Amino acid sequence: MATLDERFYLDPKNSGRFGTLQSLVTSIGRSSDSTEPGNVSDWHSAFCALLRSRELEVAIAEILVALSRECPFEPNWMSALAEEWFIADGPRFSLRAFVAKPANDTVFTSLPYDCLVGNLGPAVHFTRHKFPPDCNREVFERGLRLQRGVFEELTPLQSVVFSSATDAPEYLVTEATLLVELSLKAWAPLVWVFDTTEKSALMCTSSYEAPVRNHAVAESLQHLASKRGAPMEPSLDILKRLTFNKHHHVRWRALQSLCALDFEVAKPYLLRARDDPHPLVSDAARKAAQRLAIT
Amino acid sequence: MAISVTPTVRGTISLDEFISFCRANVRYDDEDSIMSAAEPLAALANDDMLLVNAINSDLFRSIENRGNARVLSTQSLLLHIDPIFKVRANIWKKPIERPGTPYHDNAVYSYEYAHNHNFQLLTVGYLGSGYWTDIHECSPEKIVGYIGERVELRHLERTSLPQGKVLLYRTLKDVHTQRPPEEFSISLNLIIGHPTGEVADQYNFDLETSTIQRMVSMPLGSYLSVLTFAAILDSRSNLDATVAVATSEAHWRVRLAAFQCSAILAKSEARTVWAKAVGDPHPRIRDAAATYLSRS
Repeated sequence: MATLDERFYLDPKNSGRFGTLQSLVTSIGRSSDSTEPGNVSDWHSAFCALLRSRELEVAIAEILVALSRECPFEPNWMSALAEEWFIADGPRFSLRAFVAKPANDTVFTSLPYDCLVGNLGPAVHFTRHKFPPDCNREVFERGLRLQRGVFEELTPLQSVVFSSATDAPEYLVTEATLLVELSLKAWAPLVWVFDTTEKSALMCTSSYEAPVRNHAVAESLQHLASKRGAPMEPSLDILKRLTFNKHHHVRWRALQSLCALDFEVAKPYLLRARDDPHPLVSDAARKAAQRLAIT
Repeated sequence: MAISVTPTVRGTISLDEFISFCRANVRYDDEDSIMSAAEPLAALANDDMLLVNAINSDLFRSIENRGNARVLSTQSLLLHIDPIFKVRANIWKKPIERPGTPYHDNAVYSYEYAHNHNFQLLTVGYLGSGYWTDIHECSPEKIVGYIGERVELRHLERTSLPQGKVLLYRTLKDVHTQRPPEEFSISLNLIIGHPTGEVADQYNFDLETSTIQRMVSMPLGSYLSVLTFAAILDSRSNLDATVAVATSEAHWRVRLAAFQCSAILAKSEARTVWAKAVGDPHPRIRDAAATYLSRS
């Protein structure tokens, strides 16, 4: 038994017991070195093989034996709170197992990334709702209704491919089950939140943390410079940089802060934003420029 | 009253100087030593450029791309990490009134969420009028630590954290419920963890019923995850191992979960499993066993 501090099941010495898992992780890790994120469905057959191999169940059994021998076990790859196991994690992919439990949720969300989901426990059901074909996933539209999908079953050892571009799966879990998810870290532009009754969009959130932090930084800099009396130049430099951020809400927040701090500095950035690729930014910038009569 | 001061210090110190002070003077189990950092923390907060410089540093530039660098949650920026303490800045915003967002914002900022900490937290208002907070006091040594447990909570005060004010949230004892600020605010935190890295229970409380509503963190939680997986997989071949965990000297919550998991795996022989639990040293486990045996 290897030490439980490490992911013993990924140790090449244990390839006899965990060959299918190691093969999947090694291949996907190697392919992740390329610049293209790839397609998660390329890994579907290897993922199915992993589910069928029962190697994940063997790993859990071995961890239990180690615990029964009072082996210390506080690894960072096994969640202490969320009943979640980070089986393997690379710069561009994540393989995790997590418990899905019955819940009476009033909302469900679109996916932050493309993923494969497999089932190691009792059957679970889901409805694969679809975004309307003409919907631009990058432009949130409150009240937008999903096209209702067909009720499907994910039986034990079965797996399914979900696309973040089109799918918003709504799960019906009647009995706790253990799901395995393989995802590529190619983030959807936004995660949309829908109400379960109407399947209509309520709000959106970021699909990962970087844009949220950058938005917070842009807002903080405005308040720090205007209320703390700090020299403005360093804040302006950061804000100018953030107006080029790849997330539209960060670009717009940075522009708002720039305008609040030094309108003369902000002017060329505001004018440029009239041609921003995101309609919310370009529309707002055009209106602002028009109202302020700047050209 | 909660423990708070408003130092009159006018000058500033650098983050490095503050770290040196903490390394030399601050100890987890000595509240006086932690309060001795109140004035240096206030001096650090007097630096108008502290956060702008931090944001402009190379370390924070990585946030622009990856987002997970040196951070605790999305409203926190980690300024320094030492073996037993951390220095971080927290942003506090008013929730935006749109469908769905009060819930979302409350979750991000922990508003309306009564909880204690399993670390000492000395905090100073850096910007704005600050969040509001209701502070209660509990006696952690009297808490067993289970959902629904009744806990005596004594209200100390409702207070805020404006710029320059320093508050100490005592580890485990102080239960606080954050309320949104009236304006955009930032606080600086000195967080001191247990020197051995030991993780004590941290709870979310229901103030109306004065009970534990949720475990925020707990020792050996990873054991519970594995036992849950085993119960779902429902393989009898794991029974010997789960019974061995149940009858080991692990934390009582781990043993209880192991008994519950073993009973699931044992199916028709669940009674035999619970019979072993009758002699467990912990009353919660003996109660669970008695309940099961009296029903079956």
